[in-house]
Amino acid sequence: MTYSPLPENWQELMAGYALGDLSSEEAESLQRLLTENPDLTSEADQFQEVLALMPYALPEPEPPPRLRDTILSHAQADKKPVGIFREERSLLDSQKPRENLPWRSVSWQNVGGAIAALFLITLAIDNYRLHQQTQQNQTIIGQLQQTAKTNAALTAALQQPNAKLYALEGTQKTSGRLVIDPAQNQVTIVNDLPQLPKGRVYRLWAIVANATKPTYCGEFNGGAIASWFAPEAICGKNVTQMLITAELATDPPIPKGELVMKSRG
Amino acid sequence: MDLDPSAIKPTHPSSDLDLLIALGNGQVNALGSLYDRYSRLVYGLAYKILGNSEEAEDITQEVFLTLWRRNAYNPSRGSLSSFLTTMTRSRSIDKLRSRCTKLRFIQRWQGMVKNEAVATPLDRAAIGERSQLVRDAMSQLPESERLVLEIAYYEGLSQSEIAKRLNIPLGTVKTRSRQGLLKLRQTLQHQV
Repeated sequence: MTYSPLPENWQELMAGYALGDLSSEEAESLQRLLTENPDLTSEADQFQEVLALMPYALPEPEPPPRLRDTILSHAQADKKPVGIFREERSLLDSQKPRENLPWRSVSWQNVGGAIAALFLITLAIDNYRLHQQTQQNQTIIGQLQQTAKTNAALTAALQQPNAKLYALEGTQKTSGRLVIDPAQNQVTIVNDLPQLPKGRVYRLWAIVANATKPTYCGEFNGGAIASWFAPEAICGKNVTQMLITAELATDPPIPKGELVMKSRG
Repeated sequence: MDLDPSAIKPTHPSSDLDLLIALGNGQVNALGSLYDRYSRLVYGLAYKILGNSEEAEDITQEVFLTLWRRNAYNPSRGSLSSFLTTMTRSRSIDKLRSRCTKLRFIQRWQGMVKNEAVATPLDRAAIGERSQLVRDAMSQLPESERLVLEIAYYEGLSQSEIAKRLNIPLGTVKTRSRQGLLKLRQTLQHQV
């Protein structure tokens, strides 16, 4: 595979991307650059990493010592499943008839039964922990697989000639990437928006230069990645900004709901 | 030539990833270790943006409990440190915007003056070393570039707002901030 020579200002474009100040022409140049040189994506990430290092230069005042305790006790209080399990065990222990406690007064058959029961409880706890750990590992594997899947989908979408890439920022600390392929009118969105309850959807709108109202560009409901064909060809042309709102699925395609994300710049 | 974020991670007995896995397994002590490692960074950044300790404490609590509860950090998207500072910055700026009154603004600057006198503790040598690298890199920037970068980062102002504040053309703001970031990257790359 041969790559075109990099434009002179490629690093500047990446710095502008990290700072969120690219003009639409610059954003297009950067999209082309990243489409032609996918390896450069990691360079773009590095500019963001460097920017995120800035707070290291600040004086580091010591937070009050009680803050650590407060945070950890909140975290501890979250650990309900394990806590409840332990409480149940101690409750069962305390409810045992007193005469059963001294081992000597219990027949060997009962002792055997008690040991077996204890062994089963221990086994159950171990299984429970093992199950929890397995679930966590599966979650990590699932997340990694999801990341690989979304990266592959984004790369594929970006490889279309003239594909437009938008960085999305949410009003609730969410973020995402949106790619529109104007040739096929295909929209691909990667996001971390929460799943909406039944009957509600996220709707994508294009703010088009010189248009009086936003153009409806399709809908989706959370999930890491979604792809569809936009109902209007204009969604891929002369767009100044893309917006995402949360709406009732039955509402007509006019933005009424809460704004949840918008494209940067 | 590439800047490897992991190369400038502080070295500790347990890596961030080990602690995150333990965190995912519900181990509160892993949260404690991550707090010991990053709380000054998170609290210091929130304090810089918000200018008062009460709100900086709230943000610090929010950030660490989000890390604990939501498992939102994705290692493929950057370092944990960058995830924490990005979340801290974004939440602090949201808070700042929500209460943008003149009185608070004055308090904020008064708070910052007080802040200068607080000594950096030396018990966390690795983070301290990293801080020194970044401080040196920042101090090597021309004042005009550093100022624009700091306003954009800590106050969350748009380029046109910065142009207005400093009474300079928008193009100059863009050039200065980009040049500043390019130099920062260059310097940190060479030193690491």
